[in-house]
Amino acid sequence: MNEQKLIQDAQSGNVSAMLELAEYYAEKSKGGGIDDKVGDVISMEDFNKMLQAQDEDNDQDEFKSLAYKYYRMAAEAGNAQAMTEVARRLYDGIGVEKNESESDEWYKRGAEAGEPSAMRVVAFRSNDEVEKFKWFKCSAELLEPGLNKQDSIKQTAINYACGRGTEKDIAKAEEWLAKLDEQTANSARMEISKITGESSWLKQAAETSPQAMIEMAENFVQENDFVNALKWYKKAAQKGSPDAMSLVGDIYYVGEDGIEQNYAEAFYWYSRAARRDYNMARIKCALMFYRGRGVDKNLELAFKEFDKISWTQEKFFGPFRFNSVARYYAAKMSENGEGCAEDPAETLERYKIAGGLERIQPYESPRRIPKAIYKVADAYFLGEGARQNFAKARHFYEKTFSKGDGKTPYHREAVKKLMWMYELGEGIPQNREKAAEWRDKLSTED
Amino acid sequence: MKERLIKWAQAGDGDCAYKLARIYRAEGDLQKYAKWLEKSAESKTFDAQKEYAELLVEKGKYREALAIYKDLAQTFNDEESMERVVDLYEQGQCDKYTLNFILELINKNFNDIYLMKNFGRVFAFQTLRHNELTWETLQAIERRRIAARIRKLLAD
Repeated sequence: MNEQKLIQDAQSGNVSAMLELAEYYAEKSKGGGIDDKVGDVISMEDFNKMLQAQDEDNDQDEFKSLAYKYYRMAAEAGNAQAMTEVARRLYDGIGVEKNESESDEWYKRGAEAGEPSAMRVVAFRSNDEVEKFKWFKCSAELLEPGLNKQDSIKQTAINYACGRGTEKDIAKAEEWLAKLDEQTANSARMEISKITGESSWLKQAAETSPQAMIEMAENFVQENDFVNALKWYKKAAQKGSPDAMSLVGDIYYVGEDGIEQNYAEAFYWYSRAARRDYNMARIKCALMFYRGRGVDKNLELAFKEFDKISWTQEKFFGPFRFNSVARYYAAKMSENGEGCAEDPAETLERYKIAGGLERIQPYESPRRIPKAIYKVADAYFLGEGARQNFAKARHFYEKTFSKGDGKTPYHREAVKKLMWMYELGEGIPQNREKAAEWRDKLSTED
Repeated sequence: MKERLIKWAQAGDGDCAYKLARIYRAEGDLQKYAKWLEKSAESKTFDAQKEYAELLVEKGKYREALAIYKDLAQTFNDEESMERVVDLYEQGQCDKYTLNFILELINKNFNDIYLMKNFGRVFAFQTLRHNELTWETLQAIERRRIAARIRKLLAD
């Protein structure tokens, strides 16, 4: 492409040249590509390389400004797509100073010029029910088939059914619902039921939707009617919902009112959910093996399962969600040599990960289990699995304290430990004043 | 390390007293084990209190053991201690009053997450509190199970 020629054309008022230039600069401003990698599993090495590339790319800001400049020129020349892009960049502060009210203006102009994605934004941001309805309906009619179109149709149907921003019209609501796939239509019916309190919508959805079946069950749970709750959970489970399977397991495990407690039955349902990679159920199964409930006690199997879950991303709750609870149990078993050989160094590493003190994936947010942080502190205090290091021990006891809520035993133990460390001054300088401060914290919590 | 633990434990550090007790237990010196465990439990070290209560049960000192379990159940919502109270009731070593106390404790505090509707629960699990919620859910299920067990015992 000839950049100079495009610039000349854009200056002379050619809108397609403006757009082409804007898109060209927008593409160039993407830099290291880290944003594109969110959700992917990448190695730490690749991650560092991308960070470096992003840091080195000093031209990024300039390209962002240029992209904004040409989008703005096209928008001012009346291009609806450019108006939306200008609005988005103003909202996020990309290549221009963040300005939410100006962004809203441009979204409105984009919507009025016929850009369906701008219509959706205006609909979501508006506080006026009539305006919301108008723009959802318009975008539902104009959008290309896809998730956004489905959502706009859903919102339009909901508004008709609830009489929000328009006259209540069940026939029209049904008409719009008919345009949706079954799953989205059912989720719309569930929402309508929630808003209007009319249970007929939920019942209709519960004819085919596992989510609605769970909702039905949970209405019975709220009323303490576990017999009917179990019936609906089982229906959802038969439809393949791992969440429902796990909840059926809970009812048998607990032995709720009207249901005979049955660990073997609970294990059966947990294991069905576990086979669908539902981590919560996998943990429950591992705990059954650990405690010998519903199955023969099998520490080796429990340890293996906790260990496996520790390294599995949470399928149901988004990427880079790892299960610190499983990690904690694996560490605890490793500490006591249950189901595996005792290995203090490995135990320490496991506790560090469970305590969120070490990351496995670059994007993983630390998930802190205070109990695990306390165990890390203990390991440094005793010199188990690592060289004895009182400074590190103190640091992690303090961390346990800061992450605890005062209701956990380890939170209190950490306070006591810090008090004694300062009192005796071994490994760290003796400081009676600080010891007294920690003693006060203890008595305040008592 | 042992010398250092003795020094700390003698100065009054309950946690070190517990760690020392465990060393003596591993070495097979059960007298010293019991001595330091008791000291640690007296200074309210959580793990030591639980282990010491078990020791008291073995010795038939049920009332003292129950006092510890009740304290731990109340202070830390500790399910294992709650469960031990129920076990002792089944063995005829605990009165209905204490059993009811545990039931009330569970009913008062711990049903929120268990009874949270799916919509809210799924949403909550997608937040950064995911792991804390997993933990709390597992605890809530255990407490519900203990409560159901108590209700059944009281009905019988």
